[in-house]
Amino acid sequence: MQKQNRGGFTAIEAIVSIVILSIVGLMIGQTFLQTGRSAVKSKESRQAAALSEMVLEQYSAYAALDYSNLASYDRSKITPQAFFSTKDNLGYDNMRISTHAELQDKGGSLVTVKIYWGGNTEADSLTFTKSFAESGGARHAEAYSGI
Amino acid sequence: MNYRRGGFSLIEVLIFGSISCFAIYCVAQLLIKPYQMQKTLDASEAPREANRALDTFVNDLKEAAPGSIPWQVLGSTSPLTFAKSQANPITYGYEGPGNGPGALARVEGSSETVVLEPIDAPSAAAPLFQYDPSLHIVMIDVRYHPAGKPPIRLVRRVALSQ
Repeated sequence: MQKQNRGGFTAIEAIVSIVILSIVGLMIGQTFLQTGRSAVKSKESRQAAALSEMVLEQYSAYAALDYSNLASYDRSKITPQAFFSTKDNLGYDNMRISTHAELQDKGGSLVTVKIYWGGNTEADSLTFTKSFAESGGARHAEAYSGI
Repeated sequence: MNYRRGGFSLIEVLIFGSISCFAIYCVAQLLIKPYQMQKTLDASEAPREANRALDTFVNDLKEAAPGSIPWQVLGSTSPLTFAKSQANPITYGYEGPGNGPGALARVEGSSETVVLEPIDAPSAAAPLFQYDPSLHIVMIDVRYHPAGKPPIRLVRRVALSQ
């Protein structure tokens, strides 16, 4: 009797092809995901930059008022509400603020602002610095940089 | 005669179906995430543009003559008028119906420009401007409604000369 071969795929062949297609699909998906993640990180970075700008504005006011005691305004991972003494977090609910001011050898004070979001880890944070110089009571910002 | 029809057995069909469903689920989960992220990003364009519009206001405030800001009030739904020089008063305020939405408008002399719209009408609980007389900081607090996107709260705090 002649053995009949219908020419279709066997179950094993179909499963192997599905697995291969899935792996390829997953790899493509991962690439999209990576791109999306970096874009979201860039959005959070922009929010952090906007918040840091407000924090440094606050330090501008502290420098004009009480330059010699800038270090007394250091804070560690506090909410925007606590930092600005406002009714709420001003729309930055998931962010925390750390600040540190120190006198520099060459003169002036360097204020470092660190903005945390998400898990409040170093990976989810950005650091900004600004130098303040005392000039007869008037504030004077020398530099501003995001790290 | 041993006759085999050449089709799949029930077990083969079940295994094949399960693996296919699982694979489609995994791929769909991964492919939908970039789409969701794209939606998030589209929403993040609006605050960037709105913040750029508010920069004009912030720059004007930075150049304000120190004595021209009404530090005696703490929060205001009324327009904020200040001057870069005595002859040049500038007013920023809400224009529109009392229950909103309206626009943030800038008036200098006879020229009026819309800075941002549509925005919520300011209220006593959510004033457009807040003042910190001890630190000489003006806070601008705007609820902006970009078309087809969720509302955005824009806050700027500006420290001014004392």
